Amino acid sequence: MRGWAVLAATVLVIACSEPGTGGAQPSQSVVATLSTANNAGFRQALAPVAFAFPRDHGAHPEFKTEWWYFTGNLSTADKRRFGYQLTLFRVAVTPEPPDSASAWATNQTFMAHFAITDVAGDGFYHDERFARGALGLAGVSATPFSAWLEDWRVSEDTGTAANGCEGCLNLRITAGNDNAAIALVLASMKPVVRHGDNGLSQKSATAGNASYYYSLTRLATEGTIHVGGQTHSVTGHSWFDHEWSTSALEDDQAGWDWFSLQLSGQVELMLFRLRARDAANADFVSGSYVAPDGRTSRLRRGDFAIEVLDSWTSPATGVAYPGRWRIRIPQHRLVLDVTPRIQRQELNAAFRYWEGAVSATGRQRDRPILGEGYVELTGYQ
Amino acid sequence: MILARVSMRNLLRHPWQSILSVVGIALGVAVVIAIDLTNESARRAFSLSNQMVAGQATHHIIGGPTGLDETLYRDLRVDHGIRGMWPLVAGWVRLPDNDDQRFSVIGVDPFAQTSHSAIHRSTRDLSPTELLSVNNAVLLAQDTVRRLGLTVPGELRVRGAGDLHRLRVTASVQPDSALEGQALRAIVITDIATAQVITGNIGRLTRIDLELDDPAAVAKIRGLLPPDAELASSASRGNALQQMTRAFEVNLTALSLLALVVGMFLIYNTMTVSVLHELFTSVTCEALTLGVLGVLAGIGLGIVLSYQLLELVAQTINDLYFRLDVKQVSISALSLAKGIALGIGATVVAALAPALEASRVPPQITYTRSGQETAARRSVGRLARFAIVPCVVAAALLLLPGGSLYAGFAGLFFAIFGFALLAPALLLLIVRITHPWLSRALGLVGRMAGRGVTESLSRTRVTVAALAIAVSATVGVGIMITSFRTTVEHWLVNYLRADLYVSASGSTTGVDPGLIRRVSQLPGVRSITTARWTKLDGAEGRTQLFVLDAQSKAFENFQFKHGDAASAWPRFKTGDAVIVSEPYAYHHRRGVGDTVILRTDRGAREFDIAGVFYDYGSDRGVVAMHRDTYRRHWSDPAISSFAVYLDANIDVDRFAETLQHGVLKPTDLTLRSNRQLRALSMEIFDRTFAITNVLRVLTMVIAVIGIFSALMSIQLERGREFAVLRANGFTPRQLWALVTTETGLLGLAAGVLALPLGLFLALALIFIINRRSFGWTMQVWLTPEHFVLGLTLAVAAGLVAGIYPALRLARTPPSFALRHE
Repeated sequence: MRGWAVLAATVLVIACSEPGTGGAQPSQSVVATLSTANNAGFRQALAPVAFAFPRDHGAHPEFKTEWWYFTGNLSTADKRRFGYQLTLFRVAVTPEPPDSASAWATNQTFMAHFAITDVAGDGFYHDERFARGALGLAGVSATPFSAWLEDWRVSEDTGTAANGCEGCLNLRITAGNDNAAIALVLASMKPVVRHGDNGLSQKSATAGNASYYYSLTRLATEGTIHVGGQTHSVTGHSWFDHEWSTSALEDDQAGWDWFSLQLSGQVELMLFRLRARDAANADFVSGSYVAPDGRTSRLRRGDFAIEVLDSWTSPATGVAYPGRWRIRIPQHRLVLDVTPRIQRQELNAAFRYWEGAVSATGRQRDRPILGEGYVELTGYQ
Repeated sequence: MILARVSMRNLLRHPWQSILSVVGIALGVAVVIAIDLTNESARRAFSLSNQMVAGQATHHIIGGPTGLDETLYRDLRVDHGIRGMWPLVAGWVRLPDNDDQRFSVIGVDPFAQTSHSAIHRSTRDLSPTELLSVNNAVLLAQDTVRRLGLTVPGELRVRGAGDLHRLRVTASVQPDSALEGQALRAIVITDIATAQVITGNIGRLTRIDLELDDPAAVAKIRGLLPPDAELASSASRGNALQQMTRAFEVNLTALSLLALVVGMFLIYNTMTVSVLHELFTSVTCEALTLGVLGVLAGIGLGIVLSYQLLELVAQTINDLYFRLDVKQVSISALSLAKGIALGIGATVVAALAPALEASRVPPQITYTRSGQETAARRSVGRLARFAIVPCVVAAALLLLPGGSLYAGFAGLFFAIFGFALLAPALLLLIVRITHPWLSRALGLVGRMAGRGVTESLSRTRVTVAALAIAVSATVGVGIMITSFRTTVEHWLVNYLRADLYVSASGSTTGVDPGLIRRVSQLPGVRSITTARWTKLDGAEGRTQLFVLDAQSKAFENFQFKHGDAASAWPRFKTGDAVIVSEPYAYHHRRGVGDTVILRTDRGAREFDIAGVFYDYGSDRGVVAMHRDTYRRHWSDPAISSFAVYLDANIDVDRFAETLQHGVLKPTDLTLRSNRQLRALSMEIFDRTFAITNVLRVLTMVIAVIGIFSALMSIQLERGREFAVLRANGFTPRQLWALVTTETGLLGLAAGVLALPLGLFLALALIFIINRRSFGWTMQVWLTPEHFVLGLTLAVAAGLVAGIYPALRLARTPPSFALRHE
């Protein structure tokens, strides 16, 4: 879901920025590659398909766009909290690979985003990278699962036996730079969750404006985080999203709010709202409620409400984002207040969006409930 | 203020002399500035074109003859997380639709770009979507698109790696500056994948550029490299390449300074005339006025001239050193400042002696010609004795072993200075020797002419010295070029023994071994030798490697300076020994028994030197190696050319015709006969010396202007004397004869003096300057034409310079001249 938000933001930035002013930043044109609009010749997500694992952890190059999204809330033994994000985006520039003898020739391009939130230090570190999907510089393989862009890598830990659940994985993640880095081990605790209609996640009323979308909603995580010249041993939980599609955007959709929340009692929640540009049009909303046993119930329009309680204006970019939310899901008798761990979690890279670690408190069936997760906000001006 | 006005008045009193002085200085300064601007422009173009690709790269990873394995780049980035580096594939193609022009191809990875280089910046205009999705997408500079008559988007056909490729021009680059535009003018920018295909570098990278800021990172990367790769710093690599042209540049600069020195004599001469009337400060003022005017004119002229010279210099650099696209003179303030400083400095130095004289000698003596002449004659012996000092310095600079090129040129200039000091004494000697001849041949006029020369010694000595120096430069450089040319011609005859040469030098691909096999099976072919020319880049520069698959017979074509073919051959063929060319041995101070270190596919390795051979093909030197040795240490099967030896009874021309229209027809290889290749070599040789000849002529022009001005002033000053002669019954015709005899005698004297000096300069150029520049041994070939030409030039300059004053004097009624005095 959230990948689209990023790409939508990309389009906006490209429309609004001068080319060639990026300094050591990658060029706008590289970014443009990842948001090009020509979809002819690509497969589209028209009907539900049967996912098979591990095959579908891998890439689907016949679709234009795809991403592997890892986020997590981690803490040290003395409760120092951190958040992390590592995303690998794949964009095909043409439906067919080029006919060339060169190992550099490809139609596949990759972009990766990496961020660490240091809650106690009120610190936010982010970085991005680009590479072509050729010569082994970036790519994704299904068996064993591996997704990488240069030395940022998520790979299946074949040395340990994964939980036997469907699509479950044990993973190692290494990413970062000299200032901030992670080295984590992840183990699936719950089977894959198919969002929308058995994995077909509709993004607007138009047929084909949809993606295939599944998640591993809870992965036990431990490892180290390196920030501010110090290395911290951490444990916590991660969330993995994998989504692929060819077209999912409507012209009148301004941006996206997306929530992934891990609640006490082994419950997870995924919600998104595609904000209509025109107030007269309705927002497009959808979500999944994942019960402790892994059973998923689909949330549709009218099943939940997201109320913005506060706003925060980025001192760096002047963009005003929502700052706190109240989520109500009457059918599950759930009310949650979601608060960013710190406000300053705006990725102001080649394009900008807000993606940050959040905490949640609330009540379910009159009993207090706690949670944590990630929220993504794009299309805010 | 008063002095300034006096100076001006004096200058205006001798308008012709002043103008000629200004012209002389202007020409001298112009030549110096033009050469400096030209050298500087070439240097700037070189570093700019380097920088355009490398950007802020501090280091390069370079490989062997075929570059680097591309997987090295992946390993460094993916396995070792090295950032701040970007891969490069460079090569070249020809444009069949545009006169087969040669364009460089630069292939970059826009995804890796952290570089600020112009090439990388330019790819930002081209979306990688297009780079990757449009087959063969390329970028060209806007001007190039216009020049080639293309459109954007549009198609560009190129021939590369033996195939025709249709490239898609998807965008054009607007350069940031004129210089950048020039550097981009013959470059195709494209994605690395396209570049690999069209330049035939599949699987290979030309190099990897890196930006490394700390020694730890440098050490880390060094530790990660395979043996066939090397990490070199940009600075050392750029320097090494620029070093290649250094000697060439120094030689040009020295020649340009010679032109200025000749110009100095003009100032000196004009000032000597002035001294007659003036005091130290006013002499200096006058000189400065002339100097400033000359310098101002020289700047403009120099800039104009530099455009003419740049083409010649660029041609030579392209012929001899490396590919350099330079069409634009970059006017550097430093070059102009150097020219100005040298021009003014030369003026002041030239005026110093006359000015000091003016201040030392009591005014009444200064003010009279006779006083000045007495002083001049008295100084002849003193000057000649003093000449010993610069001569000793010159000898030391020229002869001390291990001296530098700069010392060599300094030595030459000291020698010329010493000669200038000796000139008056030699002039008197020549007049004394010729006196009886002249008086016998011309009677009274002959006797008087000789006396005229000695009596106006204060003027004539400088005139003669200046003319002699200019003529000697012409003679000396002429002899040097002839000797060099003849040496090369003889060498080529021995070196090029095969009947036909087939080369891939104009081709975008190497020679196919199958083709060589087919040629070798043709009837009449006695044997074939193949050659591979390649460059090994290393941290300490570039080594030209000549790989040769020769039989022992062909090996005998090498003419050995040290070692001999018979004993070197077995080691060369099987023993991993190499032979090196004379310039290589000279520059690297190596000889037989030493070793050269070359970076092979398995790391650096020592090779024994089995011989040093004469070679005039490269001034930086060549290492020659047997193909067997090469293949043992490098996995590079490419062949650049092959030579065909035919049976004695075969008609070479007819065979060449058959070959051209048969086996070679589908290829773009070039076939040349022995004779054609020799002619081509000599053509390149002559092109190389084109600029030298231009400078030689310019120096001569300055000298002739000087002579003209000096002789004219001498004769015009003697108006009263001649009027007296007229009054005493001299006919205009006799007067005319007297004046031209006198100036002719001066010309002759200069010519005669120029011959030994010219010979000396030639020997110094051949044995000292050329050796210190390039390490070449040359045979001295003395042909009479340079001496005859020099002498004729000097006498003719003298005679011509006498015509105008003679005519004027002859026409002036004696009464007028007398009254005027």
